[in-house]
Amino acid sequence: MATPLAVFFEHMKPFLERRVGVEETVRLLGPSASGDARLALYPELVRRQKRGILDHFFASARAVCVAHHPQLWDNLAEAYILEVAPDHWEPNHYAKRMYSFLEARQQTKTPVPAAVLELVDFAWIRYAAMLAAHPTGFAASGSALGQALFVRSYSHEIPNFALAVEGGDRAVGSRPEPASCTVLICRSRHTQRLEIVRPSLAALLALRRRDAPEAPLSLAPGISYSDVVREDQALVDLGVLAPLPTLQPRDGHSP
Amino acid sequence: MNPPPEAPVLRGVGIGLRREFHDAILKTSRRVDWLEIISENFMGLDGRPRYVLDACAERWPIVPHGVAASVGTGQNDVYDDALAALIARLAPPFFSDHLCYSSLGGHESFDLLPLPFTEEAVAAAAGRAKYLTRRLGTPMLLENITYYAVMPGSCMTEGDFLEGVLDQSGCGLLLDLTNLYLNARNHGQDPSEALRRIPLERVRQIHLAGHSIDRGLLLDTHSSAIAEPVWALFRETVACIGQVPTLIEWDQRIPSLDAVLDEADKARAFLEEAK
Repeated sequence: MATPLAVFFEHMKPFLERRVGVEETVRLLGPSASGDARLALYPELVRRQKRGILDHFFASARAVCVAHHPQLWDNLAEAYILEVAPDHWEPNHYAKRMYSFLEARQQTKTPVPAAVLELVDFAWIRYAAMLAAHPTGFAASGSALGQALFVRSYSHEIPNFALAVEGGDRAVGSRPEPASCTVLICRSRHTQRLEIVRPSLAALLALRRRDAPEAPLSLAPGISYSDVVREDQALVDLGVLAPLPTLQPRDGHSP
Repeated sequence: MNPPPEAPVLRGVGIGLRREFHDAILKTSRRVDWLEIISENFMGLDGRPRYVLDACAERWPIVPHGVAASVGTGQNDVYDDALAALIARLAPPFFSDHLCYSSLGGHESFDLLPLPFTEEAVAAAAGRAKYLTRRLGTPMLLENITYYAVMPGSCMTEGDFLEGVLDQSGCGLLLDLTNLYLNARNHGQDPSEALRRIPLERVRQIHLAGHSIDRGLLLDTHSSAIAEPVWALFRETVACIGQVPTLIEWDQRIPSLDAVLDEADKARAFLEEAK
């Protein structure tokens, strides 16, 4: 008599997750006509699929680990596969929790180098920026900045390094240079391509103004309100921000 | 309210739209008859995927091909809603997925896992395929997968299993000739004989892809050009059933768009022989 389907799935799940071996699975479900060795391929195929997603998604973080921290990427990726169950149909979403997974390990395991953590963050943020809807209208452009436009301050030259690794023009063995690196990461409204901008302080203030239009804008020494307006327009021209109908002066500052 | 757009008739040879081709495909002047997308790469997503999809849809018919409907393991309302939205956007002549399971207990495996060849699995897979067809209001095709091991508890052949699901669900067959070839070779059968056991009258689309070999086992990796024995099976198939929309798949070690379009040209030439 055939094994009920529910029983088949009940025993295949731990087998595919490598929590139960092939001998035990065969004892519970009966043998495969193809033999144990062939049946045992399946947990390995599932593992390889997940590993392939992570290796591809985090190519630059992996490259640094492989060159400078032997076994680190293997250990991290395999631990992630064992601990994090994919719950979304889009394979790249499996990468979403890697940063928080690594951060949580910082306290209990050997710390992951800052450059690797930052490369992991950049990989996800860049992906998220490419998928998010652009906010529309004045109000939405402020409230939705966090979904389509990201501001990051890294301690290494992360974007250049990551893009060079993926473009294949980064020498094997190199790593991101330590350097303070503040960037805006978004998808251009004009070209629909990734846009990485090194913002001036006035540009950051322009973003602050968009993000909280009602809040008072504290200008830094040497920066005028017209600098902020000019930088806002520059970000509009780059496709980082949507144009605003009007940008009224606030707090007594004249445009 | 506008009526839904009419589904296009699919003819000729298409290619799989992969992220690596998003730029090149919109610039190519070479012949592309239609495109197939991996449904999950576009379901519920906005941003650049949607932009590319809309731009491509202006030029070519697009067919969604899923990898995560998991027809063996039952309903997933969130997934089904997202797929329904994609189908409504594209109005394709059909959509497709695999005769397999890919998720268990809400966890994705990202692999196409074989079901046991049993009557209960036939009924389960056919039930979900029928549900999806009705829910989405669009015909569904089911693809034969590669299987490296017959699952424990199986009590029928792959051919009988496939035919049973197609009969009970009313779905058409997306015949992956590479999978058929790999299964025959991996299980000690003659590929041409295996082809004769397939209900060819149910074929609505064909897939062709390259494979790899690991320690004697032929693996469905979509990582190379299509092997000559698979081309031979393709010619044999279209000689029997005539022209069927055919797709070139290439998902790993992805070459230039031109290299994939060269394979499409080759398939088109063989299809035209079958006129």
